[in-house]
Amino acid sequence: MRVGFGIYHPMLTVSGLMNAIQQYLGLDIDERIEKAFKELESDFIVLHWPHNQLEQLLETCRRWCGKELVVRLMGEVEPSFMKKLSEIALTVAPSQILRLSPEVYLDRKQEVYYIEVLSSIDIEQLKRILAIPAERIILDLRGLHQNWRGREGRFMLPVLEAAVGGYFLYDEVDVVFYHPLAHASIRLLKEGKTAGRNLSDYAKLIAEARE
Amino acid sequence: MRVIAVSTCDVMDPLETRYKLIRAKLAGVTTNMLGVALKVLTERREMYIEHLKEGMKHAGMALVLTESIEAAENCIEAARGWRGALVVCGVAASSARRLSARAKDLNLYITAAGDTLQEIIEKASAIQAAGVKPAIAAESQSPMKVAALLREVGNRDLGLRISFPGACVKDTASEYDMVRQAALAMLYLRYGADVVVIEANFKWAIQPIARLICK
Repeated sequence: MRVGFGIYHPMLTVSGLMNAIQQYLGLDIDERIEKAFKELESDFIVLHWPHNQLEQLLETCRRWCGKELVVRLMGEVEPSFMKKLSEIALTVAPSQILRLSPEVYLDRKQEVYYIEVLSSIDIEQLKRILAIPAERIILDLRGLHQNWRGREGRFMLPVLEAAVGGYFLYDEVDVVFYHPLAHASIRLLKEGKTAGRNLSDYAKLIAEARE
Repeated sequence: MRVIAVSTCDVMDPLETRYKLIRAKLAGVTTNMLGVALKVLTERREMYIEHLKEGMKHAGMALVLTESIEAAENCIEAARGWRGALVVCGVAASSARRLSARAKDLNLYITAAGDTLQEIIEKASAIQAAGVKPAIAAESQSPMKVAALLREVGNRDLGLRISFPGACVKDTASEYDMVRQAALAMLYLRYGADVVVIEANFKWAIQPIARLICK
């Protein structure tokens, strides 16, 4: 599992293994991508991109060809554009948004699943995520913050984020956080990543347990 | 089976046990999914019996952590007629027959613990042979080891699986401790734990887990 932090502000620097960057008009997206790759040592970057700025996206992808960018296109996008995007650079992975209900997409094999986890999530839906036949799954936990306000939200959200993230601790699932209080969750999941770095350790433990 | 057991091991006053359980219920844990974990010390009989009685009023499961067969017998006696599950942790597998004879209609489990899976299998078999349902207490410093054990125990159907993601989380827990506990609770449930024992001093430690699993 790789964990990340949503960066909405160009000056915010949080150490992360992955970063999610929201494109806004008037902000220098390339500067932020560079910062994330170089200073924050991101393995890859998730770009949240509005559908009305596709030409700019093409330009950005050309410039960052060779780096791993996962593009989450916000809004309806023509299939022809998706094709155009994938032709620019193979490392650009167009992602799909999967809302956890109704049961859609689960029978379709694709490269990347970008899943928005909503506050209505439960353990049965978490199990369904595990069953998705994708090469990469990116979980966006920002949706957990819906309708959570005040003291309740202040104390509970980091715990809820960690609970959902913890379910996937030893899996190849990437998790994107965006909450000012998510630091504790990130710290923990990084620990988990370190502990689970070598999956053969897990197999070894199982083998030892059998003896 | 999925149970959230509230740890009351550091609690002195039985009223606090009640408050913790009620708090867990307010956080969304239903009675049949609520357990209470008690530390049972032989020399404090009156106190642990009071705690157990509070637990039985509000929860569907009671885990008594003890090292004495006499204390376990006292708990069985106190739980007579209760419809919930009583899980005795810490007594030798060889004591299972003696406890079984006292349990009668009680829904009794005895935990099998050990450093190796082989040891656990042998103890679980001995408990089962004595006519008691076995349970496995998965405790380790390493979450990975716990996850591995839970999975292996599940594959072999060795009994009720209990894990302790809240171990070492105290009243003075930091936000990080709470977060860690929640993440491990969900991790252990993922790997097949039937019971997660957590420290629920603050309702927001238990509420997110309840939200995810008690629907």
